[in-house]
Amino acid sequence: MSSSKSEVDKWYEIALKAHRYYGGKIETIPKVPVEKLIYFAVWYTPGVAEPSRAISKNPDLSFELTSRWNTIAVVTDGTRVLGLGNIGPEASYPVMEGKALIFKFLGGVDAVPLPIRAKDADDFIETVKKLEPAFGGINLEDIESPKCFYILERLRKEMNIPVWHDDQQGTATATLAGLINALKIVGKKISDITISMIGAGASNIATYNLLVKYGAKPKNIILVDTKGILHAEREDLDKLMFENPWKYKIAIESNGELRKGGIKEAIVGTDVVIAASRPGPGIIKKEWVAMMNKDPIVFALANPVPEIWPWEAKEAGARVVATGRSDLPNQINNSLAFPSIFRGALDVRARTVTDEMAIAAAEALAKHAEEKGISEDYIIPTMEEFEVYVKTAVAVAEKAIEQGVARIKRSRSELEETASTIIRNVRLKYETLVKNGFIKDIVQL
Amino acid sequence: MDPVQFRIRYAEKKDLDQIVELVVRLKKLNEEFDPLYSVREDIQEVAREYISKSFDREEVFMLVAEDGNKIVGVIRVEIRSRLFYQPIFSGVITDLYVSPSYRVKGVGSALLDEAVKILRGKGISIVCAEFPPMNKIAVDFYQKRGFKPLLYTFFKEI
Repeated sequence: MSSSKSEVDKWYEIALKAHRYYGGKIETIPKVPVEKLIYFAVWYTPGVAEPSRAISKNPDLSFELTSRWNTIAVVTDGTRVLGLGNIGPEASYPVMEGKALIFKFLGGVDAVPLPIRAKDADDFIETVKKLEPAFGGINLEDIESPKCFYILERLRKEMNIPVWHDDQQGTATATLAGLINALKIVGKKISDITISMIGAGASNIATYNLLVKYGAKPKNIILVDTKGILHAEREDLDKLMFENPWKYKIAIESNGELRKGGIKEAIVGTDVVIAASRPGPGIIKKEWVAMMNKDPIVFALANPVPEIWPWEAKEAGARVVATGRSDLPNQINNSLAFPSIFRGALDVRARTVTDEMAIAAAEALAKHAEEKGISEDYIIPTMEEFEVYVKTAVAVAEKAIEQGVARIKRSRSELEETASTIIRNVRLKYETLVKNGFIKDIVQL
Repeated sequence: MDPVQFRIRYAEKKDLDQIVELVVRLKKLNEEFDPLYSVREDIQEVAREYISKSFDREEVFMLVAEDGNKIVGVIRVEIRSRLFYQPIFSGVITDLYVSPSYRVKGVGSALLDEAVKILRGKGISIVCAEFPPMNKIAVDFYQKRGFKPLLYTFFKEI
C-alpha cells in the first residue's frame, strides 16, 4: 500500500507534461452577455463610469457592483513550498494555481494565484495590504514558520477582509473536525483528554490554539519539536521568546506536569496524539502507541508517508487513526475546509475569519459525517461529498453574522441557496466546457 | 492562566545556587543578541563569584521573587556615583530575570517596584537599567514603565 518511488515519479512525469500541455490550470472567462459590440457601452465606457462613481461614494459597493465579492488572492512568498523549502515565488506558482483550481471547483470561489517577491515579512505585509481594494479575501500559502505567524497576526488585525493562512488554520480546522468525531467514538470529552502533539510547525501550533479555544486544557497538551518536549524550564526558552513567541507562549502554558523527553515520552499515557512532523514511517513507534491511554486516537498527518502506518497503529491498539492521505481512511484534508470557509465568508462579505468561524466549520464537517454514520474508519467527510461544502459554508456565514463581522445579513435558506447555486453552477459550466471539447481529458496526452 | 503566588524579599546567602542559575540563564540569553555577548566557558563559576560577592558589597542589593521554596525571579541593583553630575547617585539594575513559567504575571514589575521603593528610601532619585540594545523585550519592559535612554555604549571590534 505504500507509495513506491516509481509511482510518485510517474505522477511527476505526467504533471510536467500536463502543465505544459494546458499552459497552467485556470483562466478568466466572461459571465455577462457581450452579444454585440454595443454591449461594451454597458460593461466598459461610457456606462462603466456610473458604477465607478457609485463606488467612489461608498467603497463597500465594490462588493455589489464588481466581482470583488467572489474574488480572493492566493498569496505566497514561496519560502516554504510543499516539502520543497524556499524555492522562490515563480516556482510556487503551480501550487498557488492548483489551490485556485480547488477554490473554484469545490467552493465556487474565484481565486487569483499571486506569488510575490517580498524581501522580508514587513515588505510582504505591506504588499498584501495594498491589494485589499481588489479582493474579497486573502488566502496565504506556503510561508515559512515562524514568519507565517507574524504575517497572519498582523494582516488579520490590519485588513478589513478575511485573511486565512491555510497551512495553519486549514489544517487546524480539518484536524478539529476529525477529532470531534474521534472523541465521540471513544466516548471522551475534549476538556478531559490529554493530547500529545508531535511537530511544532505552522499547522500544529495553529491546531494547538484552535483545540484550546474549543475547550482542551493547555496544561493537558504536550508539544514536541525537534529539540524534544516543550516545557517552561527548557534551556532554549529565552531564545524562543525572541525567535518564536508563539511557540514560547505554548511552552509556558502547556505541559502542566513539566514532562521532559522526546516523542516517546510525550506520547506515553496520553489519549490523543496529533503528529504533523516529518514523513514516516517510524517517527512514531508501535510500542509507544501501545503505551497510550485506553482507546488511543492517532492522527499521523505527515505527507507523503504518515509518521506511523495506520495498520501499525491499529495493531498497537489505536482505536481511531487518521492520516493526510486520500488513499487511506480518515483523510485530514485542508480541502474540506478552505473552499467552504471562503464561500461562507464571501457570501456575507465578512471582514475577517474568526477562530469561532473556523470552529463552526469544523463542527459542520463533523456533524455531516455523524449524520451519515461515523465509525472508526469514517470520522470525517471525503472531498467527494459535495453537499458538505454548502453546509459548512452556511455554518461559517451564520457564525460571521452572529459575531458581527458580516457586512450583510442573510437567512439560512438564502445562504443555502446562494452557496449551493454558486457551487453547482461551477460544475455545470465545467461539464459544458468538457462536453464541447474545450477541456480535453488528461488521458489524451 | 492560573494566578501565581509569589513574594518579594531581600536575597539571602541560602539562595545563592538558585540565583546563580537564573543569572547564568540571563547571560546566556544575551548571547542571542551579539557574538560579543558569547558567555565564557566558566560562566557558572564566574556568576557564582559575582553573586556571592554582591552579598558583601554595601552599594549592591539583590531582591528575589519566591514561590514556596523556589526562587522564580531576581533583580540586582548597584548604587553608583555619577562623578560629574547631579543628582550624584543612581541605582543601576544590572540584572533582572524571571523564570519563563512565571512571566507575564507581574513578577518583573513587582521586583522593579520594590527595588525603586528601596532606592527612594535611600534618597536616590534615578533608576537605570543596563541591557543589550537588541533585547527588545527589555526595551519594551522599561519603556512601558517610563524609562528613557541616558547613555549609549557604542563599540567596534579593532
